[in-house]
Amino acid sequence: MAVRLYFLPVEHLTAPAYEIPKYVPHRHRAATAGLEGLAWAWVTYLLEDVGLLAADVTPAQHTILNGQSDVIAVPVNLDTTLSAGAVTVAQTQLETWRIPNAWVSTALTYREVLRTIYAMWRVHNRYVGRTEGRLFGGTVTLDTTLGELPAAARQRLADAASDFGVDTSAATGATTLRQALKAFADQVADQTFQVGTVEV
Amino acid sequence: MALPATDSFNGTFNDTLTTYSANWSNVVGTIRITISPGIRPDNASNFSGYRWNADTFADKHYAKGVATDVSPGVNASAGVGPAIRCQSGASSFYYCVTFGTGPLAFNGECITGTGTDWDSGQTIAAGDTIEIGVDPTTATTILFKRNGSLTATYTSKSALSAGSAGVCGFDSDGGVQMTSWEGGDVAGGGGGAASKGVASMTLVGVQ
Repeated sequence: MAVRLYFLPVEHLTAPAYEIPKYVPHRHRAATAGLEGLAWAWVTYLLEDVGLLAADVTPAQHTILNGQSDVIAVPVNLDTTLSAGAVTVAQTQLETWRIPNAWVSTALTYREVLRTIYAMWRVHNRYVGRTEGRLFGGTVTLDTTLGELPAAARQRLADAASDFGVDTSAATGATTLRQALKAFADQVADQTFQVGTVEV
Repeated sequence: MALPATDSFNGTFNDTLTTYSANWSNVVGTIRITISPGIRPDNASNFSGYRWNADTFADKHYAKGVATDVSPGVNASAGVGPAIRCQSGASSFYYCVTFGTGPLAFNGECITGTGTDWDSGQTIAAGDTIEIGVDPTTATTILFKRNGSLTATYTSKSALSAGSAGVCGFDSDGGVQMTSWEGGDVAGGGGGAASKGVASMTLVGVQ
């Protein structure tokens, strides 16, 4: 057994209204064969399509999860740097998940990448909590500028960042959400976080 | 009123919580008084939540209650429990809700009525006191306690701040009940998360 981290899709149930991790067991949906009874914990990009899940898996369970085309298994050693191939995979997937991606490089360790991603999620998730809705709903994309957001949404995003001590003064109306989320994250990306028993 | 706030839900059978007492405000769904006394959920396949409105809570607060019955009679997914950071004017809170199979307690976040469990559940038993509270030192760390013992720690829970202690439920069923609710601030909150100390906590988010 080994506790491993996986990026995996979120299933958005509507009846009941629930966000659940794909493949693993959940009280509102059976697990993929071979993953029954698997204990897990996760953090999510709230109301978006991806979560970071920790699970104590057997080799067989890891093979099942790692074999899914929409799952990314994070190496057990978080302090290794990403290969060129891993950078390509990460950048492609992050864009799909509406997470700024151009900053990922072979100079970074998995731990550094995870901390930056989660720093973005932290600000984003507070925005979602404040707003009672998605940041990327409707026509809003990573390339939407702050100036294109409604004033109330722009203020709530600034408030969400400020809640974590982030200085937002450099952001302008021309700053894209792609740039803003990364810039905000850079200010708090040195902070650790935990998924299940895994300290990142 | 002074914190900690308490309620044994000794009211008229089947009254909603707001009918039972003006100290409760509805957040989402419906929770009703049971005979025992206690409360039960009543919102088919969705969350319910109420916040205690008679006191102002610090950002770091807790809520707990005795899960007297955890086995649903009809709807297998039904559960009830304490809640924190219940927002005023918004259907959002952090929940600790029972689940009959196991039985388990699921901790997570309900944001605008949509639930996200933080893990695959924590083992409990009927009659347990289940508690969800904010860590005394880190406002984005949420603690779950079973009968006063720390069982799970959830870090970086950033979606909600402030709010009130409250109660929550999922689905609709008369077979699951909670009573002896208490909500308070973590610092000096009358036996809540802070008073138990966290210096030696074990991080066991995954069972």
